[in-house]
Amino acid sequence: MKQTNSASRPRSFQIFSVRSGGATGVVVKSLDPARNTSFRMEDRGPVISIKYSPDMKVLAIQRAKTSVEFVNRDSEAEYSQSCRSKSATIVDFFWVADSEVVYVTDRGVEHYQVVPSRRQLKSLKTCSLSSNWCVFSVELSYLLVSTGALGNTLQPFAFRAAGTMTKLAKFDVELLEAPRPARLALHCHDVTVCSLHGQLTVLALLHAPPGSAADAAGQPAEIRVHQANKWVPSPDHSGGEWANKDGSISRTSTLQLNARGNFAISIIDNLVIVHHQESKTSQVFDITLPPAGDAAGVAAPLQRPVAPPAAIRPFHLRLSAGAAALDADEPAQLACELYAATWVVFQPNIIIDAKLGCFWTLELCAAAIPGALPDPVAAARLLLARAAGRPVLLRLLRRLLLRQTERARLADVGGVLDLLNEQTRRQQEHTVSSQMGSPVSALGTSPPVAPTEPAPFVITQSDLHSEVLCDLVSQQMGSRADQRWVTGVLVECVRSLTQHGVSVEHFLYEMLINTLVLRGCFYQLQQLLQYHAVDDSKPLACLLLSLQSVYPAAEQMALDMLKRLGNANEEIIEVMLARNDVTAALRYARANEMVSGLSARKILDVAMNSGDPDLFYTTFKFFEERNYRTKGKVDFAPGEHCELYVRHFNQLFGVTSSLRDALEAGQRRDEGVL
Amino acid sequence: MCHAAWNLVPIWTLCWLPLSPRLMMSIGCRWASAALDQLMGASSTVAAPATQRHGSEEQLVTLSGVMQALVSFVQDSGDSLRALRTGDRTIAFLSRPPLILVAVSRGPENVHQLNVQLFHMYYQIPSVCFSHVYYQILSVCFSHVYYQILSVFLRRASHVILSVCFSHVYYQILSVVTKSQLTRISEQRRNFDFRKLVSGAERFLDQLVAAVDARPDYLLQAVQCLRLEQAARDAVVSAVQSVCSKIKDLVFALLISGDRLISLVRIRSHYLHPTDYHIVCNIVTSTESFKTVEGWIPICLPKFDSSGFMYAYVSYLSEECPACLVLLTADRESFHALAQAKSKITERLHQNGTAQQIAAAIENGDYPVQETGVLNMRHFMYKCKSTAQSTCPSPSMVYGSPEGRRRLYALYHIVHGRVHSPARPLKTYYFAGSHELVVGWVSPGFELYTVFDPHVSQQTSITEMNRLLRWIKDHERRVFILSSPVF
Amino acid sequence: MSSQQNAGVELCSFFIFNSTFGPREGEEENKIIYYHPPSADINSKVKDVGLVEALVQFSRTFNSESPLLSMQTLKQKHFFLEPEKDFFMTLVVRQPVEEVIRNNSPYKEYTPEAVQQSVYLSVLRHMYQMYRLLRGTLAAQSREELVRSTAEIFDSYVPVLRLQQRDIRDVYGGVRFLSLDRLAFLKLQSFVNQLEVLHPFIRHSVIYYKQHLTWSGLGKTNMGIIHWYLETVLFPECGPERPAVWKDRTTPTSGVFMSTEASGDGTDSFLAPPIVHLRKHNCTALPLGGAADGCSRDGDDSWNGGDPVEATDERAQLVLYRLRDVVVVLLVDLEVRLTLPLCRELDASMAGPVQELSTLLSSAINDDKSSGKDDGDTKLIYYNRCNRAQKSSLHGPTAAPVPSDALQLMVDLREDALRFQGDGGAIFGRAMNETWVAGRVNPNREFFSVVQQKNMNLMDVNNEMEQLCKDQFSTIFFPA
Repeated sequence: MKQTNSASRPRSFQIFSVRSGGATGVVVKSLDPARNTSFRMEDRGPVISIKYSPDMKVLAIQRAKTSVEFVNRDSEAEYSQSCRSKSATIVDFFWVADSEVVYVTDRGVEHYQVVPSRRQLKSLKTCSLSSNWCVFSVELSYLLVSTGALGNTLQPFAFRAAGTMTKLAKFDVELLEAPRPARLALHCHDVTVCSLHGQLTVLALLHAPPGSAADAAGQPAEIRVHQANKWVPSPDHSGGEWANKDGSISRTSTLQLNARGNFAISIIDNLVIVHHQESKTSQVFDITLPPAGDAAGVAAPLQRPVAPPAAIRPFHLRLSAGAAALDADEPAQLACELYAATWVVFQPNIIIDAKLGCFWTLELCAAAIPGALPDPVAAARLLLARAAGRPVLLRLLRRLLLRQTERARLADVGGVLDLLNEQTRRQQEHTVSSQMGSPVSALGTSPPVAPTEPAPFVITQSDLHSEVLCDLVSQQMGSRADQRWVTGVLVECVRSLTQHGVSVEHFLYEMLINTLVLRGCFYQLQQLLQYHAVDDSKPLACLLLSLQSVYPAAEQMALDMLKRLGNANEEIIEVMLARNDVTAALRYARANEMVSGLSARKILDVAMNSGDPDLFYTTFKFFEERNYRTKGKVDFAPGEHCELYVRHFNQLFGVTSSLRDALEAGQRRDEGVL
Repeated sequence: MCHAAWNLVPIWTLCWLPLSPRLMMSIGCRWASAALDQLMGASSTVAAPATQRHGSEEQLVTLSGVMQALVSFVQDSGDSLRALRTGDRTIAFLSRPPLILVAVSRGPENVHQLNVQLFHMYYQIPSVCFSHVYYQILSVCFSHVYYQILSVFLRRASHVILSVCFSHVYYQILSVVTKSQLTRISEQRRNFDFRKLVSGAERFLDQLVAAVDARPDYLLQAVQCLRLEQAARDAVVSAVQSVCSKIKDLVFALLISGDRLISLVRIRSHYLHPTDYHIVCNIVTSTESFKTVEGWIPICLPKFDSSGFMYAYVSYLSEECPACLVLLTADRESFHALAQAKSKITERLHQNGTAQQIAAAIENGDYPVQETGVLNMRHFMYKCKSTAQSTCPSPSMVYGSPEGRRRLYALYHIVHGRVHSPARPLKTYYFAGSHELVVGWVSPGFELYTVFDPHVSQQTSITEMNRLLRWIKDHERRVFILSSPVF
Repeated sequence: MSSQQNAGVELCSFFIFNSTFGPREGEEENKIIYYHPPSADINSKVKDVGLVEALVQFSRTFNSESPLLSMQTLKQKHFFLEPEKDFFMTLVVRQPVEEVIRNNSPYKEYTPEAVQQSVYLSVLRHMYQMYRLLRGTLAAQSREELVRSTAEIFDSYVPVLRLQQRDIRDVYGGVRFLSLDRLAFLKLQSFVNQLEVLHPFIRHSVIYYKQHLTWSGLGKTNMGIIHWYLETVLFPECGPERPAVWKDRTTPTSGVFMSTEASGDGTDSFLAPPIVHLRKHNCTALPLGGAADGCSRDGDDSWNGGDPVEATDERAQLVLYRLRDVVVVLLVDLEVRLTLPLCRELDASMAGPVQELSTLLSSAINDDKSSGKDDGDTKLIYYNRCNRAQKSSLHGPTAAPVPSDALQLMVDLREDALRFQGDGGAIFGRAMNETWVAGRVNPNREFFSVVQQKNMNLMDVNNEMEQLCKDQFSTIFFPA
């Protein structure tokens, strides 16, 4: 894994190198330079363990089995605290907060508050249990204590609010095979506590106990994954608290290692990396992958590694100028031996090579993922979950959609797009739910979705457009296969977006329609519109209207779309007037109560230019009637500039034949006979 | 080929083919190719044209030859040819041995309507052929008549929608040469050339062809009356009754102006059929000479008695009153008596002022549709079934021009044809198109066809039609003749 | 007129001839390519042909461009079609006849109006289209080949013409689309795209579900022809009882390849599906962006213009693949031999997705039932000329039969609406027996309905039409 400084560097990790009991100086190294320091202290015997408090105000030194000394950094005041129960020996102790310490002794767990000013510790809480070993996660402030003869029953403690220690429900790690005679089968270095996708996870590495039947059968080691359900990570990643009190942990899946020997676990970017010393390879597991084979119903489905085992990328140490100068024939760079015996792996991704004195963090090289994973969909899924994956994913998409890989399959395109849109929708729901406080689905009818955590990044349609689709559409569509591929990709985009409820942007429809037109697939375009696979919008209707010269039926499709839009009556009338269909336009206006809004001059002009006297007569009568109904008299208002048409009418049909005398006859009849 | 000159012109053909089944059979199955050659302009062997004057005469002969061949060929298989339909024409055949009448139309008429028209033509013939001694048998080939009428129409504008009603023609022909005479002549002489016999008929048939197309009467088979006050009409009837009661053998006394009936007095127990009335009108209106000198013509009214002749005394009342009195009698020698009767009637009508009223009524002619006070209605046709009388306003506005009028009657032909279809008659027919709204309404008592502006809603069209019926009811006396006076 | 009377329509004869095959005397017999009934003696055959030739010549004297359409005699009606130059097809139908006593002597009364020209001309057109689909254009074959191929096609087809049931549906010849929701259609289309990208030798693909068309890769004209052929000839023929030509026994979910023959045996045997002749598409689409010329555009836009009489056809193999209720029609390039491994490969790539499609479409068809419901008395038929979509509740299996004179009135009214000037409109007709036929015709769409409720006046029927249009056509632009 290449050396990069990544944001996920653990804040509080420090290494103390103590020489000769501290007398000749203690050097503290950390990833955060601000936390590097060095000091001196008297030599009072071998130091078992030395730790700074998170705020580095107090230094805790454990030299004896039963007590720990504390030194205030500023005032050099010293004080110590031994474990309460006399005969207990401290297995380990941890700073759980700036001024809180917990002792894990073979008899129990003691929680103290450090009061530097008074140079003493106040005991907060103790609980008694016989513990073999313990594991503490600074990040999650979560303590795991192993009890029981086999060491596989684990008692978790959580340190949420200041000064409180809550004892959570115990759980057992199911062993491959219980060793006979009973002895400690699960050890401290086999258990890892981490947070995967915001979920508190306990990984237990299990080996076939030597000499047992499983060992004889050569059963490979495996990692059992236990996850706390309903653990609600706090938004700022500072830990979390249990949605429900007991914080029960259950086994969710099993990682199959199909190798034996020593392993080390690193957690990078929600991926579990298992380093195998003998074969000098690492395997990558992603617990979000759908489990291998038919996992329905199996309590802990088997997870296969994401990719075949591969070695960490070789790393060369650049010697400082001085060292190189000393030893002329020494190469300027020193090739570090990978998976060396001297390697010590710490959570979450820290490797220390005691021999070389190097202190590394392991990083995931996103760019290598596509190379490692031939299946684009799996690679996409991995990349999607990692913030660094975005540029790599875009490159992957580009190669896939432009068919640069040799056997690109449309189904893969569909799969990748589905993942993209799935993430987009989740992100949309997350932003909506976080704004409104309750998951958006609570409003809808679908079952309440677990509160989502924000996606590392989202690839929007405009990204797709600029990165890939532009070139896809403009490339040469020579053979039949090319033409189909372009349409196929565009259809997959629309299908995937529609399937995930993401609204499709106009440019995508435009591209699809233009491609179909270029290919001459007019009947297929018609079916696309007939089944409303394309959202109705005015720009699209205009696009269809522009296709009229090539495909007359496009006008019908455009009119249908305008009608479905509901607010496009003016445009519909415009289209009808464009094809000189004045009567239909007037009838449509009458049916939709738009008659008063019609411009008499424009429509009379179309009727006159159509050269059909009947049509002009009908249109003229129509507007005369409108004038009569609205203004009580037949003539046009001067503002309407219809003099030209009145003259034309009189010239064609004579003045008397206008509506006027029919109305007078009507009045005569009303007074007269009736 | 000759058809270049033809395809522009809608052709009304009237051809009588001397039927000779035996001749056809002899040519046998190769007649088709022979017929084809004829059309290529080779001389015809089938019908010998009396005279050869014009090129199109030649085409006529070959064409009538082909038509006759077609008809007889279908007859051989025990069937009879009714109609042919091509992309833009309907060609209807009506065979009334010895005559075959062929109508070719580009209008919307269906075959049934064309048959009705050709019957009129057929009846017209007997009523016309008066000028020659009947028994002088000359060979007549219809193509001459055909040519004449063809020439009439060559002159017409090309796109005219021309529809000729078979039966009108047929009746007209019969009115000249009585049916029995016709069959007797054709049996005696094979190539009897009817043309001479009906040489005078061209005028009437031209007139008939024009009339059939542009006036509703032939479509509705009804009589249209002149709009006149009831008093005036009674005065005319009483004048005719008092004068003519003494004249024996007088069957009908009609006063007509153009094709509008002013009054009719008939002999007891005999009725004047509308077709006969149309034949009389057609003769009167198409002969200019009656305007100046009294006419005394033999006439056969096929629907009255297709085997016998009657004599018609025709004369216009006076200069200032252009109505024409037609007295139909069975007595050959009663010319003078009828002449005196006419002068007495004219004098009486002038005395009591009726003549002036009639002249005025003829002057202002048909009423415009606005007079009915019905809004948005452009035209209508109303026929009262019981009295077989019809009324309609004068076409105006959009239908003022000849093309407009033709389009109007084309509409009526479509609606009438559909409503009176023999297999599927309809009660109501309603079409709201982009140019107009057409409604056909047939009820036991009347038939009403109306044309509205296209923007009229259904509700208004129905209320307006009911308002029109009320107006007709109110003006019934002036528009129709309700009484049927007797001598 | 009771509907029984219409049962009287009978086929008298059907023949195809070409005058140029026998120009000289004595060779008249060569003119005849096909004549049904074959039992007729040669003289009457030659006379019939002679009559038609004369009629054509006679009608050409008036206007050489307008074709002769029909001849009506007292007893019969003859319908003519000149699909290609000098080739004439004639259908002679006896009018329905009824024994009537008139002035106390039996008299045969014929009703010509029962035999409607537009219906039977479209029957002739369909026969030509089917022949051309299966055997190519007439002009392309010699007389002997023509005689043989016409006999092959029409000998089996003419006897089952069932002229009594010919009505407005034949005039339309439309296609029944399955109404799908948006997502179902998109999923269907992604399956089609994947299939066509995977197998480029598939030229076009068409998908049916329970004889409803759900997707067509063909152009409008070809689709109309193929649909008519499938619906009237092949689907009935290839029903379940017809033995599948090939099925991959090994996999349980494999579909059935249906086609008329399989040839070859053993390993190198291959399917020989029927060869169909598709109308050549002449893409008027804009020139493909930078496409190398000479490569034909993939889309089939044989929509433009009427039937291109002279154009040569493009041949393809018609492969039918049926699985559960889905039928996938593949038009495969001619050069590709459908060997068994290829069939297996096709089956493999289609079986799974088609299964999913079948369930997806079955749910779609359930809520499609809504359009099928006929509320008792109103029967309706809708046709869209642009995409040949047709929806009808006139002839549902459960629906009460619509009286034949109402159907004929529908054809009459349609003819009138198209004959009035302008571009159609709303038309209503009330028959003597109070049955209303109402229609709305505009340039692209037609919609007719028969209303049989008693004492309805014009306004009621109009409201009924408005209501029907609102329910059925809310998503399209179909103004009054």
